[in-house]
Amino acid sequence: MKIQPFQAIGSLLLAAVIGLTGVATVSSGHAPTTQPSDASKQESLPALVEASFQKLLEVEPSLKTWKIMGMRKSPISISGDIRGVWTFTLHETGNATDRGKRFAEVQFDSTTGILLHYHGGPFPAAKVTSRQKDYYLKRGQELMSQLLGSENTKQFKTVSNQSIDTGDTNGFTRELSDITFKAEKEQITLSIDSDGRLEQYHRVRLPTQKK
Amino acid sequence: MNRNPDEIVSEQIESFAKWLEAPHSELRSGALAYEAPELIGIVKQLERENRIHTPDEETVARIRSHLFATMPHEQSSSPRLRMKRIFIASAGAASFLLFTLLALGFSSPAWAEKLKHVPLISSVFELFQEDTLQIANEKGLITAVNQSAVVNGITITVNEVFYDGIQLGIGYLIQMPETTEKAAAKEIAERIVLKDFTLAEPIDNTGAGWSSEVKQMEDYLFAGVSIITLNGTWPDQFTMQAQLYDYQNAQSTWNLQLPVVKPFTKIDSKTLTPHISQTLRSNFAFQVKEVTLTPVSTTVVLKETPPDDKLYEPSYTLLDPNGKEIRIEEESTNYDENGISRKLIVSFKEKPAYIQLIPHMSGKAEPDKAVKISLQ
Repeated sequence: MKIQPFQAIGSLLLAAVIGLTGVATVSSGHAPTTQPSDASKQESLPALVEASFQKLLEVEPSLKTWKIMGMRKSPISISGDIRGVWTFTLHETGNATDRGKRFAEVQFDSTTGILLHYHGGPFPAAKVTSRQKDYYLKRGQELMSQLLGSENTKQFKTVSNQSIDTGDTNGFTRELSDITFKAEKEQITLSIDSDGRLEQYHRVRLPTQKK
Repeated sequence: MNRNPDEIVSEQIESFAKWLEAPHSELRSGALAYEAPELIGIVKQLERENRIHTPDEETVARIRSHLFATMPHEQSSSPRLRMKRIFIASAGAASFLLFTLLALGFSSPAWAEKLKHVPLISSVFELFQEDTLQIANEKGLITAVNQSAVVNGITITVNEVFYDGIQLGIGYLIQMPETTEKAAAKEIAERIVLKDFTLAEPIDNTGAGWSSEVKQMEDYLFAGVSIITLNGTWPDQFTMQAQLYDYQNAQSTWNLQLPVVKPFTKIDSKTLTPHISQTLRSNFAFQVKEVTLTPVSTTVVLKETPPDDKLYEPSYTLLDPNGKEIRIEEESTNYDENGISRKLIVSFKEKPAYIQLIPHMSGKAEPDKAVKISLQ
């Protein structure tokens, strides 16, 4: 695998063990709340996580120029799953006080390296383009295949939901499509803009019934 | 290392966005939303069949004083008239129907059967299927307030507040202008949620989670509740600076100052620290860290420790001493420097001496690992 400069920077930063704060809260019924914490651990980044991150960079190469603001390990995911996760926070300029600049957050399962959550963008769209559902569906399948590999993508064969909305984000109007791909026990929801860029990715477990 | 304020803001925005996208199934459905229109239908049908009209002035006055004692008197007559109709149809159900049915002599067994299921409505809180608010209402632990704000012709009146240091609920009415198209009025009203609240007095720990629900009472009249689950320690009384807003049009924001008071003494609430811990078959461990009791809410805080990085799916059920499952009203997990903590909130009309906590892992109960938690 070709080593990206971005990865090297990441590894260096990691080696220095960045002290970061970790937050993960989920709530049923009421809204989630955030609580400050400090849970960074001196632990090396698993190879599977690194490989998974590399796949994301291939999907969204512009992230390679963004700055890593931190990497942290925690025992709970954004969606409230109790599992070891690695979270990377990236910023367009590296200065979080720069107004109007974007940030991204990526979360991976620490054992399997699978991508659990990604929130990037919004990426500037050249103009408002009206796309058909088929365009987004095809693009969604491509992105799934790039991120998960074609074999794993086969599990997520059902498209349970698809919507196309035009909205105003950060001062510019753009079109976004949300598509949910369902497997037996999990689902992945993608948000794709009219340029075909992945803006959000959320992989969550479907609720388990109590016996 | 201190976190950048922008990071915190970004996370909070994201959390809020996620909450807005939460499926409606997560919001507690209100059976009364369906019962109230039926009730109105029954009343109208009775009126038609028996030529009985609206209750006498005394009954109307009683209904008004009961439910809307805190409504501002300077309101225009139009909303009042509309509310009067609503009160007749729904809020005054018990007195009006009793009066009507006595007059009718229960002429129709079918109607009589239907009316058995009609609830007595004396509070906005009663319109919603929230155990906490209903129990608080029954125990007389609701504070009547009188706060209105008008923005873009929409009047929001908060008339009830419940607070026990663990949960805070507000009940309010939304009167939409009748110039609005009916469908649009409903859409807008249902978009109005509690945006934020701050305290007039500085409070160290203001972490909180909240939910809002709105129900249509009539074409242009809506009732809403917001329930806030508080984190940390809160004072016995404070002024809540509540902001309700239309989440698709943030310029429509209603600012209200609400007096919040714990309607009971310190003796009536306590915090227990039981030394109970348990390890499940998977070596996933939990500890009952804290139990907080108020006359309405009971909070159980667990600390959870996974043995490794693998995926764990713990869940819990609570049973009363008779083995009956207790409905968990609110469950949340939090991760901070102390590890993973889970908070379970339940409400009791009559608090049992103890409850049993049954752990589950990946949907499978482990009754042999159940723990008994004293509430005394």
